[in-house]
Amino acid sequence: MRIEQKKTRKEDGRSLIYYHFPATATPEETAVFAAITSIDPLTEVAAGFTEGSVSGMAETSTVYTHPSDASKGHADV
Amino acid sequence: MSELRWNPTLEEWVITATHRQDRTFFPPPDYNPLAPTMPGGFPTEIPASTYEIVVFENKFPSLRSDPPDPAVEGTSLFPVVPAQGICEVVCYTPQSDTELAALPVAKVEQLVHVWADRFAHLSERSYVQYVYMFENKGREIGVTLTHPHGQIYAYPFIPPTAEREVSAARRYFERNGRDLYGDIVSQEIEDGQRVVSENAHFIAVVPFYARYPYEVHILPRAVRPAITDFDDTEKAALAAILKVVMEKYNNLWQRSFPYIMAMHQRPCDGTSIDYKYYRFHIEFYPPYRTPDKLKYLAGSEAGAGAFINDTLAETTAKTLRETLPF
Repeated sequence: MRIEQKKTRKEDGRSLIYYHFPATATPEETAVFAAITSIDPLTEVAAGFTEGSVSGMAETSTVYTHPSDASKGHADV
Repeated sequence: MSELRWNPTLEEWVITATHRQDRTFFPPPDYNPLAPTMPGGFPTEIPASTYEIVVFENKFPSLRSDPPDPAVEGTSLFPVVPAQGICEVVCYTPQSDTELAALPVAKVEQLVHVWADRFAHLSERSYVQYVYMFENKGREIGVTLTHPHGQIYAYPFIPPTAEREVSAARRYFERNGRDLYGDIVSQEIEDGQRVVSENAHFIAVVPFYARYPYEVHILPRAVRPAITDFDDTEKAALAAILKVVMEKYNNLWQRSFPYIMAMHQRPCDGTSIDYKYYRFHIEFYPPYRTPDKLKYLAGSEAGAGAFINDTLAETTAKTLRETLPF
């Protein structure tokens, strides 16, 4: 599924994220999303999962890990 | 003011959030803060004439990324720390007169992707230990805005229920070499009496140990500790079974069915490999035990933590299983 997002800031500093789904968006929704100015570059929601395996388990042994699982301690955004 | 106060008798944090007393309470339709902002109209939380799905930081948060200093000074017996975290609101649709169950399954699937995206982003924050997604639906639950929406709390600690579940699953795995939720899924499928619905990747059951009469849990058939572990096919299957369960609820008594929808997944202090003994799942807690009788959390539940369920899980599961859609 293709997903885009734009992150904005409200006047009081709170974040507001618009998600856009090009395959199902109406022309009005597409136009409104296009007009939104993001504080970050246009972001597509990652779909890149890395498959890993867990040993010693039955047929339901595959675990998918998101790239963000790799570490913690990033700077706060 | 908000802060975390430690309860040494239960070894758990209590969040104080006094500013939430002032939050918006059942505004008239023209002043719905979760609707799009119409030209010339009331400026809502979303300054656009429409949207698909939006997520924004709660105006009345219990936790915030830049929390104020605590109002009181703690002691070694009563520690107090700033209530650091994130509280977000997820608006599912610009339509106010609808609900998640009534949205197309494709929309629910999009929402699952948004949940996964928020889990991925919030779990990266250094101070976040647990990302909890939930929906309160219905006045009976204490909802103050009827516009279809859910919430996300990114806690700086692992909340007690999650801690207890994860610890129990870890101990079970150490004792048996198998994951607890895998055995629960297998046994529920084998027994069949408590199964409400199932598809290729999930089952919905009134669990053997249900605390509420129409409590339903949605469990994955495979080991998936977090929502980010699902591939696109599994996300579509999760959306499909979610919609089936919510539609069954609404069809049960031919009215919009209130509930708490709670998403349980692994903490953020490790990877899904670290939590291979635990599985993401969704729990629904409906407050009604009959069409006109609420299940109150009274003396035994609130005071002793011991739930009394007035029904048998096998009976309510059968009722839900035989309620449309099949």
